[in-house]
Amino acid sequence: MSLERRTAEALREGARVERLWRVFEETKRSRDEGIRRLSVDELSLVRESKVSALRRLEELVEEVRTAVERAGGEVIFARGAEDARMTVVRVLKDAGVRKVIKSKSITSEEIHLNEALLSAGIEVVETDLGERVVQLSGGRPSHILGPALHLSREEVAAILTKSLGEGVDPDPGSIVGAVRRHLRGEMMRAAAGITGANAIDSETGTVVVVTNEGNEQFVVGFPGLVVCVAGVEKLVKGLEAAVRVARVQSASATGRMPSYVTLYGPRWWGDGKRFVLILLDNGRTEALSDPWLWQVNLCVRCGACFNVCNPYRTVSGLVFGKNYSGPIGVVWDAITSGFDAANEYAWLCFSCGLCELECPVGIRIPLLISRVKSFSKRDLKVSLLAGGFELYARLGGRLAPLLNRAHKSRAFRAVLEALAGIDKDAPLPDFRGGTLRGALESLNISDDRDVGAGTVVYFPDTYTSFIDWGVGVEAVITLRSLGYKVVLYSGPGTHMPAIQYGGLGLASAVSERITEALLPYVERGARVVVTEPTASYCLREVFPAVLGTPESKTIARSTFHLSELLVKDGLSTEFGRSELAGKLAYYHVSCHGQGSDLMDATRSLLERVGLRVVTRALGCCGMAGTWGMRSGPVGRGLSSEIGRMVTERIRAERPDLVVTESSVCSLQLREFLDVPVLHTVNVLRPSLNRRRT
Amino acid sequence: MSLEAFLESCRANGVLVDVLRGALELREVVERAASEVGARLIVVDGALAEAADRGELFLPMEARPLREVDLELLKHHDNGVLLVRSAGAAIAEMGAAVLWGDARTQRATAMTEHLMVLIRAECVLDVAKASSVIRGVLTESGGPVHLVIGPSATRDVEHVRVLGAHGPVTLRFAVSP
Repeated sequence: MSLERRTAEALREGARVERLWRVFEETKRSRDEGIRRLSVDELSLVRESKVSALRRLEELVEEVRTAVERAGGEVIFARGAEDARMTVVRVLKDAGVRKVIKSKSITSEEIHLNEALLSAGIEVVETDLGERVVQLSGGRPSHILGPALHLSREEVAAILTKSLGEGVDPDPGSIVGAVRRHLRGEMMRAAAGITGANAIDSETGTVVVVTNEGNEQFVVGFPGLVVCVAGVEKLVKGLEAAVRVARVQSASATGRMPSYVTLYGPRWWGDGKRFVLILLDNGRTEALSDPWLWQVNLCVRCGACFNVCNPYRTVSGLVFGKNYSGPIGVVWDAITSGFDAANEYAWLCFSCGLCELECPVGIRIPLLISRVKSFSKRDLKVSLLAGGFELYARLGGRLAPLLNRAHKSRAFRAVLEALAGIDKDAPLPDFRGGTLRGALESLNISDDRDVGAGTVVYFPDTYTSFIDWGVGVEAVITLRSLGYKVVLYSGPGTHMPAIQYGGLGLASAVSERITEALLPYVERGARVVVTEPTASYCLREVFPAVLGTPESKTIARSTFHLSELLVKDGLSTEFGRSELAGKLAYYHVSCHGQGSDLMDATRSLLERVGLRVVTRALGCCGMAGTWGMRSGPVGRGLSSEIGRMVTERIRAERPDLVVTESSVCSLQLREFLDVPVLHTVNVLRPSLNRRRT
Repeated sequence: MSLEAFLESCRANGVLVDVLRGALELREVVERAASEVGARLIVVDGALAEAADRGELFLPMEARPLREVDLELLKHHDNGVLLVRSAGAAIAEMGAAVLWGDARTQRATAMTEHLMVLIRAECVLDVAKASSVIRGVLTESGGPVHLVIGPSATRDVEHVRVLGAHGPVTLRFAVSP
């Protein structure tokens, strides 16, 4: 079934959407509290230990082999999924095993282990509660940590009632009791156990596994044969490093320590149990040579990136996944099952960038997904969106009346949908006519000539340059009123759609041109100022990552959002009481503005002018640049549902107005809300205390 | 790493901790714990039973050494057993009791309905030192080693937390000087 169709079906499951949003909102809150208890040093230590292990992976493989074999265990290196499957089957069959108990392992999902075991006549009993429910249902996990999160309690109870032959009430306590009774005997009698690993210490061959349910104690503790199937990237040097991985994984997954961390390996207390460690490559070492994809090997499988991914929350891992699921799952599926497999759902990623902010080991997930998308066979419409947005915006600047009329014409919108894939019902901005430069010239505002420390280069980006220059004019007036010399940037826009649609090559070319254009000013002491969060995200995060040059990093360090600049330069006091003072403003922080100082700066300025400000971490509003304008369930369909969920929560705050820095977020918010939606600068500029003469 | 850090971690993990004034207080704490959870049988691990035999600590009169208990008693989850174990170490930053020992004791730990762990204050270590101790156990005596941090729990059904998914429904630590 196509991604479009699967998405359309998921969007019809309203109750599931509501439930998943609630679950992930709760998980995010709890996770945020938990991760705060870890020091930055601790996160760095884990990243460093993983990076260091990947740099000498071959050495660590040999080290673990020696350690395990010396202690009487076995290590088998499996090049691919088929190797791994067949190895497990052989080990179990040689030992005469007919039934095996398993703890949750996404690696075994990756290699389709259960199917291979069943084909070989070996019964598999999953022991994680959610995993067992999914197994009994004949489905697949929708989340790497909560396999059955997509199911309601009624659905779970129905599955168990049918499978266990006893009536199970649809309440969590009864469900857990039924599964526990059903599994206890199975776990105590099993001849063999299969586990995954959160980390493996190469020095001792110790496998570290995190669980909450305590099933791992049965899987490791009762059978006479224990097989661990784990990706080779789980190797780290030293037990301390392995325990730290487990600690960070847990904190980042749920915010809580797990109930259990089990450590086991080739040597057993007292009895002669057998231990087989199967190290799986399956694309991992090949990925190490890719400039982007190597980073996926740092992943600790915490699932934090899932919590903030609004497309994932909406359609669940059954659509947003294959063997893996969620944002990082796109990359895992790409390297382990191929780019085609990953691109079956990579296109649900909006490139909002929030997943990267959550990742405890700093994987640049959105750019990795963009890399995966770059291997996809893109259709013409997507290419048009990736490269054509700026062209259309420039055209709109010249032909504003014509295009504005056309936007209201059903016939034109139908043609636009057919040719460029722009949904005929999606909100499109009205062109103001002309350009920002033209508007400034007509107001007799021209570039300041003496570039120095007091100069700012205003980078308006495509929307403010060509579609609606109102914010740009207000920004330039504000800056000049406060004594800054202002130079208006001339050059290409950031081309964020190129990144969203897998055009990393185009993004690289554009970033070079922008860096070249800005550098002469910055080298003379000027700072770059933006009013669109996507512009700051590109200049500060994406371009340095794409180019990796000292010049791009210099530009990144010199780029500020307008609010950040004003607060940093101590200019808050230049703003007086606004006509809007006393009103409740909901501040919608665009995704690309999160993780920076923008939120605090804007909030303090809005409060300075007398607004009462409320904000919540709701994630992407669903518009995501041009994404929400695309036709079809994956475009406007998904975008609308996310917009509905986000604005429902904003409405619950009962704001008098909404303030946001993002032009495209404004389009989406206006579509769903009936209060004014203003750009920050539109609120601040009228409250300026003084004017430069 | 201080005992205070361990206690703070336990609080964050939601685990109840009794800080004993002396080893003599253990009996009282165990009896209270058993009463609170409605335990029908108190079982103690080998190390505690031996320490009690030597007169180093006092246990409730009805407490039975694990070596005398048939594990079939623990077959059902609602077995009403409070198992009292001694930890080899504890990890301050994680609020974890580090448990190792023979297979029978480890199995009983997985199966018991209620678990209480006695931790000597001097055994509370930071991650680095505890890892070193665990490494020694794993390479010299053997595993598995379990870090026990909370009661057995799951959120697999609609994210509602249910205790006692497979293992103990309750977990309590007692820290002795």
